[in-house]
Amino acid sequence: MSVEKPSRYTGGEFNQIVKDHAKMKASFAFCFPDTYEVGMSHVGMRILYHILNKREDTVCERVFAPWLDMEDLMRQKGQPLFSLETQKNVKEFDIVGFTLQYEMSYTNIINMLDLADIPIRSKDRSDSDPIIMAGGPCASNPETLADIMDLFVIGEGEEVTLELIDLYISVKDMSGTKKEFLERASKIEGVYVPVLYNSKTNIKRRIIKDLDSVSYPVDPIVPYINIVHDRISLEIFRGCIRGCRFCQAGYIYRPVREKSPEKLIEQAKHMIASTGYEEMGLVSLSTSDYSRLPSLCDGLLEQTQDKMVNLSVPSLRIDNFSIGLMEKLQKVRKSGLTFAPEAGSQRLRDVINKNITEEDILRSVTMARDGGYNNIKLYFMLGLPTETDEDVIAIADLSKKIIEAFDRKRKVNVTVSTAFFIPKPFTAFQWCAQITREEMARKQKLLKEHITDRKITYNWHEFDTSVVEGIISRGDKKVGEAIIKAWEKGCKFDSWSQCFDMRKWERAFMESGVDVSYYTSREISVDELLPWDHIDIGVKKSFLVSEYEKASMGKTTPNCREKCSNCGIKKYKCGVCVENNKD
Amino acid sequence: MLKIIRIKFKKGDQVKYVSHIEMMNTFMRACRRCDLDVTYTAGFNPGMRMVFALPLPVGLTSQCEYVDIWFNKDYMCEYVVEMLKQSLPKGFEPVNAYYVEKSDLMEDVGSARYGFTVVCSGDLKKALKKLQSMESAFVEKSNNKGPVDIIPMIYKIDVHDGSHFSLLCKAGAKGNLHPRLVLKALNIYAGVEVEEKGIDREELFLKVLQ
Repeated sequence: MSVEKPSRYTGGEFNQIVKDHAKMKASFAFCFPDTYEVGMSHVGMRILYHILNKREDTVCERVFAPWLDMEDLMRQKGQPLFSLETQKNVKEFDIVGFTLQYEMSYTNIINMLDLADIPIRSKDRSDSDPIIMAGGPCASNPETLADIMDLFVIGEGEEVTLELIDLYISVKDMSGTKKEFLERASKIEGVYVPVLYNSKTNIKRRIIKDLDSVSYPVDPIVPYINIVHDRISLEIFRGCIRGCRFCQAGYIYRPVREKSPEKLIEQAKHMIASTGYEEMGLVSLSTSDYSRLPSLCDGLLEQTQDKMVNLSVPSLRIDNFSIGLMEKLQKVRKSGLTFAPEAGSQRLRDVINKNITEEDILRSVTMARDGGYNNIKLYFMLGLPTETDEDVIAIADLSKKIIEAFDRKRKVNVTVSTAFFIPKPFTAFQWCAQITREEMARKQKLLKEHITDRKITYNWHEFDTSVVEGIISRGDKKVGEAIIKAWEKGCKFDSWSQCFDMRKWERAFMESGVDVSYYTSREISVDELLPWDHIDIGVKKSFLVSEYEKASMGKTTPNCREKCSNCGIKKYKCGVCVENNKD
Repeated sequence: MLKIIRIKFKKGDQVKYVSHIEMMNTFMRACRRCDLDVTYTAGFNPGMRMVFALPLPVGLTSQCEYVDIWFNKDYMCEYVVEMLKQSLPKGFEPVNAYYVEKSDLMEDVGSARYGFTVVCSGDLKKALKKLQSMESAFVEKSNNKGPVDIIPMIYKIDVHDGSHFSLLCKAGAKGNLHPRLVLKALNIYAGVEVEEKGIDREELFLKVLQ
């Protein structure tokens, strides 16, 4: 075989769904713009694959970005991009949907369209080309890809995707045109059709009010090859009560909506039997904020221990970490612990509204020590708004204190990882400047100089990718042109360090007239019109402004369960907002 | 009391790219799905106790693969075959099963027969004859462990037509001929380009049977 890991392209895994296209009214190619291993780890894709295929009139098949070796082979043989289930050319599907999980995957979208022999810009496509759509968290700022996509779905896809399929079938039955379809689609809540948009109304984000009521993929595909998250994924809730000011997910997935423990335990049982997986992981933004975690874990462990299935409970927060839970999990298997203080000093943690104190952190570390853990990972951010050199050095100090709390004589490994702060749309920091590449290098060096302990390993994120991600995150149509240019120059798989090429990006930005500092390192006035202002994410802009102001004063905001801060999401009348009203 | 069942199975075209390790995971998950009570290994990372015979190179199909599985219960062999048939992905096909006293599958393997389908740039029959007439034929292994002489490991070659032949050769832990090396050797020593269209492991001969 001339390609690495051929199982990436063959399909045929257990629980795969194969249908007869001739008997279908609509076909949907679900495209994940990264490799099989990354894409198959994504719960959103699993959900929509399942929901679409539950329909008897619709087939949904999977498509991933072929790795470099496979792409070379395909181009050499003139083989267009195809789906895994039936090896059907992507161009022959009715609808081609991309999920936008991270900005650095955008060149892969363009590359996949090109490999599928589909024109990249919507204006160059005809009625014989499929409808090209996109959704996912990065669709909250759709403008960067507005010239490429026929339509975007803003928010959660379980219901609106089905509405779009219904509409597609009814337009097709009446032999309607693509234009008619798009006109009617633009009237569906949560659907944004860039070419038809009039600036009068905002596009309102779709949300699922009751997660217990929507179908969950309890018979997920079991890949042969090792994927990134190679286990049963059990989503326990959406949203986050915390409101960290840098975190896009913390704003765009509001409000917190939990699935009931009964439902989750029933789903877990079914999924163990249907997959045979040796591991199950809970999926959410912050596991320990699940309000009935103890009873959920008890119920899940009953299912897992009996079948020798390992239960992994990630993203436990340090401030309410329970030693009891740790012990319960150890009954099956023990793994490392990860904490994310994000900032080294209390002042900066207050600025970003990460409501934990050094005392909280050290207390949890002591508990982890007593629980027998030896590996601790710590995540921090560099370049946060108002950050000073003292704040950077405080990361080194805190890491040292953690080693001390652990007891120096014991075998302990602490890994400190830093990522650079990137301002994201719909956060309190959406107006903030990102630090320049030079500042990134300086701060990273400063921290490295202060981490002297040999028990601490320090990893940091690449500078250049952070710059490009910063530009795309808050990009507009002009940035979109630059992305196409970068692809023309050969950029793809930009989130893979072996593929990322800053020189090509720099030339692409220059040729498209994109001024790097204008998009990244300038402080934007709150009065300035933003490219994503026509998207109504549910959280009010005025709330983001007040959070931004409070940040500059170092004032914190209570979490959603402590007190409602009127972010605006209450209007959906569900989840934690309704819990609060009961009080 | 150890209860070891040896299961013979086929590996078809749909799953020919599934590697040895992936196949092991596949069998463990299949056993969990159909609730077979498999013995677990002791230790920090418990896993189901099962041993597969000679790994099949990726890209090959097989009519004859073996796995030994340790069970906590006294199952009827037919029941295990039936259960696995239902819960293995398409492409894996259990054929039969029998109890074994002890498992030494790796040592038990002695030879194998492979069926080749190829496109040959020259006369396949002549080329194979030329190869067999040689006293030694060294071919570089793909893992860079140096050249190996394949001639002593070739027991028999039958040419069926211009694009099909079968090879009986040494196999197992104490010396194993990777079937693709024969194609490589044909290129080096008989000067023909041989394109692999399919290789099927038709038979794996165990030294001790039942």
